[in-house]
Amino acid sequence: MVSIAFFVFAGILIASALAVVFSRNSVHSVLFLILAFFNAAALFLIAGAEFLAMLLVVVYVGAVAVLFLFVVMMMDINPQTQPRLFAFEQFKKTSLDLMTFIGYVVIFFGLFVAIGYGLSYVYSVFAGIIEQPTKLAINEDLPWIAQLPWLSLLYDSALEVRFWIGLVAYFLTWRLTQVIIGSGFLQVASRFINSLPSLMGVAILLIFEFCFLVIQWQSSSMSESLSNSPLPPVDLMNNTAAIGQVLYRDYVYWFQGAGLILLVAMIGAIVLTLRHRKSVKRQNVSDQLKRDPKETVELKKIPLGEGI
Amino acid sequence: MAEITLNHYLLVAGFLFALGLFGVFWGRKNVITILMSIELMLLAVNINFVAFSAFLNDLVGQIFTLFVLTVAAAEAAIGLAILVVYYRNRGTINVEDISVMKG
Repeated sequence: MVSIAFFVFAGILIASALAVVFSRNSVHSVLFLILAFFNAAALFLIAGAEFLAMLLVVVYVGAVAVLFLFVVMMMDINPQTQPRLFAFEQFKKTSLDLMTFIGYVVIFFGLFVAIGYGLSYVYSVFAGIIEQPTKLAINEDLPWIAQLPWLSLLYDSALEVRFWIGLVAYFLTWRLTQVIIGSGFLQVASRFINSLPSLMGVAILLIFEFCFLVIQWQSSSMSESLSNSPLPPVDLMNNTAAIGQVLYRDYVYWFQGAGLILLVAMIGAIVLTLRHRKSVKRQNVSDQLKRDPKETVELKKIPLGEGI
Repeated sequence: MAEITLNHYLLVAGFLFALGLFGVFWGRKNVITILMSIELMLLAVNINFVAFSAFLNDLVGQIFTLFVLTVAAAEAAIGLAILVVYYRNRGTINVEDISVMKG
């Protein structure tokens, strides 16, 4: 039951994050960001951090996202300089961008895996680690995807070798993917690919680094004893009270520092955006206080029958 | 998939982070998309912290998430203030036009 909720919220979260990046209308982007924040708050609730979930809704959605919305509405953001297409053609264009992104990711992933494994296999054969892949000792505790024999090669070799193999594999993969996709096989996709600076490969690479990391993740047995402030059981005190117990005792200086950060941010925002309009009449308090009473009232002698 | 382990949360957060990073580089000719992608990255980091706090039974993760939230809100406010002032002076927020660093 919980897993269904988790997958629903995580799915909507990732979908709305994709929509934030890929949507052409800025207001839509902000609204999808709000949706993402709500779903992240739901994920926090599933994890048991209820105070943080509500804090996310109140602060992030209620303040930051509304601030974004204000700014977006205030600015005359030109929609894309291309002419407005009908809705279906617009959808096709947007989905084509998305599909080229996904296609790029898939090709990149496949090539990176293949080249990385190939390089590490070659290295291992030359370094004499193994004679044949089937003779590797495979760790049965890892999930099935980590038990592929050549994959465990990447984990068993030293960190530095892995780094260099990864670097070479990444470079080769980048070039090969450019060749493959830019060659006319997906002709429209080359427009997308050519607009990618090479740094964006880092972003795509990060996704797969995270996936590999996650597959390999194991908590050590010492982690229970190393926790700084263990979560108390739910019937003793709720999450908010527990956070209060820890925050105001052990981390009170950090708490005050966070307040200082907010103060500085407030001052900065005001200093940046405040402007005095000339047409608005304002009080100048110091001038008012500097007023000399003798100069304010003047007595004029008016002869009878005449005006001033 | 009966149980939600730490790996699920880490995968979601990792993908979100990479997506935000991608958005920063590919900001659709619009500075606001870049700012929103930065917020996405911070959200991914928050999910990471909370997941570790829940599964390793340690409250410090949630405390640090509080501070990350604070800093993210402050930085979003300042970033948007800079954007507003820039828009006042230039009249446009095209990413390509901002690359001229003079005047």
